[in-house]
Amino acid sequence: MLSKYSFEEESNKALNNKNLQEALINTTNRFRSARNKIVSDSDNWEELRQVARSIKEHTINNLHNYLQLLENNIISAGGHVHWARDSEEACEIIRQIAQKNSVKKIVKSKSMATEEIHLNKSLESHGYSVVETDLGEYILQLSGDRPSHIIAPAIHKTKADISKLFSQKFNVPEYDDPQELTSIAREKLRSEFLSADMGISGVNFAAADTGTIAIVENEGNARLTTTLPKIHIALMGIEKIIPKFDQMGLFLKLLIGSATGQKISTYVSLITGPRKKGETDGPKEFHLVLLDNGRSKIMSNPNTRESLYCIRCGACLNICPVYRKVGGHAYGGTYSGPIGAIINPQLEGIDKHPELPFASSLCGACKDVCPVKIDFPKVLLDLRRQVIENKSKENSRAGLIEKLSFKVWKGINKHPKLLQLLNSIGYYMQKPFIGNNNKITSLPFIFSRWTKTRDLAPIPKKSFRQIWKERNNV
Amino acid sequence: MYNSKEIILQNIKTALNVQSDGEFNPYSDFNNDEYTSNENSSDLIEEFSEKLRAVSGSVEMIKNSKHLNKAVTAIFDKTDSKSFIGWDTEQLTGLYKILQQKGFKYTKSTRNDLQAKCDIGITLADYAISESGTIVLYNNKIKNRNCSLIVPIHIAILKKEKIVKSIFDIITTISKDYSTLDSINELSDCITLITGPSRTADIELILTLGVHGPKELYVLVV
Amino acid sequence: MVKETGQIASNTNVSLFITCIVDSFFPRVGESMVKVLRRAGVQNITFPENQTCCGQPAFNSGYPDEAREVAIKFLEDFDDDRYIVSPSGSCVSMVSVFYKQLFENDEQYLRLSEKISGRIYEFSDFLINVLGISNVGAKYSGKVAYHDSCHALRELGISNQPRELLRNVSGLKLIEMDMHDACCGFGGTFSVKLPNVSTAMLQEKVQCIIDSGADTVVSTDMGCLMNIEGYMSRKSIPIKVQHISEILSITN
Repeated sequence: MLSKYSFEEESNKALNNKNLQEALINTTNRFRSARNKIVSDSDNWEELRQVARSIKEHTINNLHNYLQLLENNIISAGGHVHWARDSEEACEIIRQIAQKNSVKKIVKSKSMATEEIHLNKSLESHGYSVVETDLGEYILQLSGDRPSHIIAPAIHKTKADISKLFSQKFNVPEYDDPQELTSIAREKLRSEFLSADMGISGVNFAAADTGTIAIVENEGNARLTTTLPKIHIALMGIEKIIPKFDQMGLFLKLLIGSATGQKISTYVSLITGPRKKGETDGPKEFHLVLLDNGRSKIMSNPNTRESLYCIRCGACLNICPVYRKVGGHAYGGTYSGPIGAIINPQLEGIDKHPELPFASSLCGACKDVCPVKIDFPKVLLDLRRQVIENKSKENSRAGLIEKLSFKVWKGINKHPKLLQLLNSIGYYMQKPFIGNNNKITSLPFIFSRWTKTRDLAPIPKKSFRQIWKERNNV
Repeated sequence: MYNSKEIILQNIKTALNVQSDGEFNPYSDFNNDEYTSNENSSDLIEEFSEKLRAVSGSVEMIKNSKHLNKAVTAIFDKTDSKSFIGWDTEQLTGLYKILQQKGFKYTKSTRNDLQAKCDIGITLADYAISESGTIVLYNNKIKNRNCSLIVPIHIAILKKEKIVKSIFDIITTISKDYSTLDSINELSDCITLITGPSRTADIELILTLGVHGPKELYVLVV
Repeated sequence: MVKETGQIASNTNVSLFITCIVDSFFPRVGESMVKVLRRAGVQNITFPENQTCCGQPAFNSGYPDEAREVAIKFLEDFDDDRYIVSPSGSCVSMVSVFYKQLFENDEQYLRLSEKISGRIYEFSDFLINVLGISNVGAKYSGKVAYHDSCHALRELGISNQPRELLRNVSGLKLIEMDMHDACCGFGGTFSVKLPNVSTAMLQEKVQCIIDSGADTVVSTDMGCLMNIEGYMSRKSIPIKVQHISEILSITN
């Protein structure tokens, strides 16, 4: 995260980036209509959402019990479980496993949690070679870039960008055909898979009662990552747990339908521990790293606790009218879109992301599409209150002006006669700002932000209450 | 001295205002069976074929073992394939003999790099899901993971009685299989749901096949 | 049916909740609404003259204390048994939905909020679901695209009501535009806090209105319409912008 990061500045940059704008429209439109089809083909989608939310609510409210149960079952299945309080500890745990096993090369499949803990940077600074194997993430790794969408991380890159990149990195001609580019990636990454000592993946869901983790993908790189190397490490946010294996169908259907509008992804791997005795492939060791990194802190606020129900489908991104204009980088953190707006401040601190809770018109479209019915506007409002409370401690000039404005607003609205007086004053004071078309075309102070692109209808001489009074001789 | 596990669990309990470690009742209001369809598998073959073909998989109905041998050989010829790896199950031994007789090389090596050089991987499918065109593979010591993963072409032989309707049905089926086991240790360490060849749309949302997993999938329904 | 409906209307007591935007900037919208209510047979209409604001601007900006003081005044100003009818889905949702969040720690006002939420209605919702009237005898020759205001749609479920009323306006052709339920970019203070993002959202909305072939855009909320009209005016786009009460009040 940039030290002087500003959502407004980043969003302005994004708005002026023509390629990004086109990519955002295409990607979000595509995912949205695919999801809409899945929903309209289903006869009980609303019911499934409600059930999923109930299960998540119960799970988070009993998280300590489920985590213990999960640990017991993973150990029974022959796996190891590690607990990481924060990013540093998670990276340290993974490094120690690598060191203990003389690991040199690591392959990774897509995982937002590994982004969150800045795992690659940590591993590379300790001399490990880390290769991203999801095609989008691989492209970003080669170009030194960060993901801009939870499901399709490299949408901001054009075919031409990728073609040039591959040509530079691999000394091949600049191919125009995506199939050709994909084949190059397949070949390059295949040799990485075959020589890797360790594979790191994320976890979409973990069933506490069987110790089974589910990994969802279309490419097959997660399968290779969790099959070829002799060690498999799965990193999982503690909230990704579900109580029972028999709820997997429900959650897989909601996740995949909401994310890409597929009935099911190309591959779903249900993994329970390492390879068993006598098996000839699969990892010899399975490690699950449970990541807290601020999640238990989120739990302590009952108003925002539901932020943890998230199953990382990205549907909220695809419907958000703000995300669709500014893309992922503007959110200045691991997560973007509505989910980013609520968890980046909660995981990294409100003081690091004071603008994010306000990066929304509160339209509520995200709430409508969330498969676990997270009430985003409610959480955003709570975070806004927290930001303002923090601001008043800071005593910044802008903060004081706004605070004063709302005190004045309150005073006016408690006294209707004052409001009426203000109307009358406004009617006269607005005259210099009215343009030729009988509209206000420019205003001072913060209101210039309106009139920069929009006219404003002038205040009429008589307000409704005045007209009513006169008409009814009150 | 507290370890991280204790700290995290304590943080959670504090956040939830949990006073004491009372009795814990795992969630029981959800019954997966309510969402299953229990449709007869013979009615599902057509849907299965249609859905798999829609995601670029190939499906062929097989009448008998002679037909099976012929169909598999045809795939080898069509794709110009010379070598294969395969599940070491007795149902497939006959097929492998025929293929070897025809000059195709059967690799029994367990080395990843050698397996990766083969053209075709042959497996059974333990189950299938018709609503999505998915085949389901359990792995164990004779049913390895690589055969459906590391090669560019995957052939899976599926018994039509094993087709179920939906993802809810397959979860019920897997749960039933689990419940027959003596201990959790016997769970297949990897159950894979495969729906067509590997794919991606990461480059400008243009669909390309065969990224990392197999580029071609042939399901032969017996 | 008409007799029945007429009886409902004549037995209905309505208090007007005009909202601060309509009171100060668009009184004609309030006047239109009253005209239509009278034509629909509602005789007993009052305007609690102490009313000001529902408190939403402060609530949305993270100032719950200020919002609460103004909201308490609202509850006092409208403390009776009458229906409250308002030309704004946003303001109605503040009272009927968000007061429960605002007062969640205050039992007394929480109870008042719960009670009031049962009798406060957005105008089109009131016509259809309380008065049972879907044809108010209006006339309008034009092609109308309806914009779903976010709070009206998502908090109050208002979608069919305005459409049904518009379909029954003689001479009016109702067009369903692309992305009719996408946010127009107003969002109250959002429009000045992130003006460039707001304008980009607004541009997209206006383009959808233009592409639909409509000559008029109608909605239930003046916040949205003020935003849309502001842009259209700046760009000299000759599409009319009307509140639903204005369309429904036209009889010739």
